[in-house]
Amino acid sequence: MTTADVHALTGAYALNAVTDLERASFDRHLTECPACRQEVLEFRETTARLGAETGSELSESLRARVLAEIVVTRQLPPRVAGTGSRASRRWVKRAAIGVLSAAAAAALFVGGINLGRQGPAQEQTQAQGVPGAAVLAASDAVTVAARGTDGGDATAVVSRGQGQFVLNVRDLPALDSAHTYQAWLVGTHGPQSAGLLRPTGVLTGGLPLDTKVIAVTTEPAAGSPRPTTPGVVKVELA
Amino acid sequence: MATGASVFALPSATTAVDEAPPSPEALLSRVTLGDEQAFAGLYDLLAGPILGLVTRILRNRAISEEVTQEVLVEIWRKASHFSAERGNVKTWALTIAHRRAIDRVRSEQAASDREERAERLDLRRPFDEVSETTLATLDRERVKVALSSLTEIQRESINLAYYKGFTYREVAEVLHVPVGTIKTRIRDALIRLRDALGAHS
Repeated sequence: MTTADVHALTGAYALNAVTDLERASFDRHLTECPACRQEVLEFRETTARLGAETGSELSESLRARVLAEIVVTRQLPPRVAGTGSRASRRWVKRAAIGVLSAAAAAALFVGGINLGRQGPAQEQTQAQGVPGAAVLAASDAVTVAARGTDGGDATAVVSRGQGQFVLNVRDLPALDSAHTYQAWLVGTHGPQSAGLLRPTGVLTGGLPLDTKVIAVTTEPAAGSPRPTTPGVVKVELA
Repeated sequence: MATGASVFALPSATTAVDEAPPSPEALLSRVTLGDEQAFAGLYDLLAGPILGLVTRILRNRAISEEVTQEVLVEIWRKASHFSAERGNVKTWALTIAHRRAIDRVRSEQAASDREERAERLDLRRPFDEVSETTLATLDRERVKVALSSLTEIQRESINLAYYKGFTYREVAEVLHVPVGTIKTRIRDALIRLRDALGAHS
């Protein structure tokens, strides 16, 4: 391929009219050719207008699906270390690895929010006589905590063996009387309502096998069949 | 995070609507920080154009919605990778959408199948049928005029490549034009469109 040939690929590249192999090779070329980089940028602005020319009617269900999915989708860190944004994302990572042992479930009831691993099982006396006690006492119980996007936090204790969960939310933002919080068990078949919640409260219930995330969204006071807003807190189960 | 959360918290979705609509760039910078409400705003600005483009390429409504969902989730995931040096947010989003849609076309169509598809294409169909089915806004008119200024082979190349997922080699084959020629025709066509449309509005 001659040099002239290489540069001439800008148009096909901007239209994605190249094979993966050609794209990879041209990507390399772009790193060392500012002229082509500039041209591709301009072509993309142009083709975006060809694309944007076509409108399409949106369904509410698509919106709900997308907003429900981002609740359970972790964002990628910046490619280059920036200022600020990395630090604010750190809690997400910590929450994701914040799997505690069964014994640490006790922390739930002393109001602590423990992130990080703890040692083998200890005394479980706090588990007696409270909602979800069986879950808390289960040998396979796992506790995961997460902070709310607008304040507050949530702690979930789940037992896959018993197929049960306990969700404890605390200090979520106050809501007016027309709204409530609603918890969702999100699995491979989408979100399933787990019940309504106050800004601070506990919910227990059955845990479908495929549940990956327990999320809480703001909904009309009567609750919704599906989430209609972005979540205020999400607990990612290991 | 505690300070970040309070800065980016909105009282509610409804009060945000009453204010001047934030730009996609402003919303994306908040999305970078995990702001889901900002993402909902970004969705409202971008989902229509994305679904329009994807549907134009894939035709099937259900598959198009599926791909649109993937695109929007990718925007959420990769928000921090956006660089203003590489265009505005809408261009970035539509570039992702186009790539995803084309990938879907190619993965679903085996090479032989694609050949058959090429035969089924009615090459006489005017390119600007797109414009006719949509609202005649000023920008669409400009795009239409710009497209009509292309030669037939340029217009058809753009059509096959951009909307049908053909590689330039396949375009060359279908149009019976040498590969090298098609490559430059496509580039010439984009230069012409770029100049006709002027700076980004």
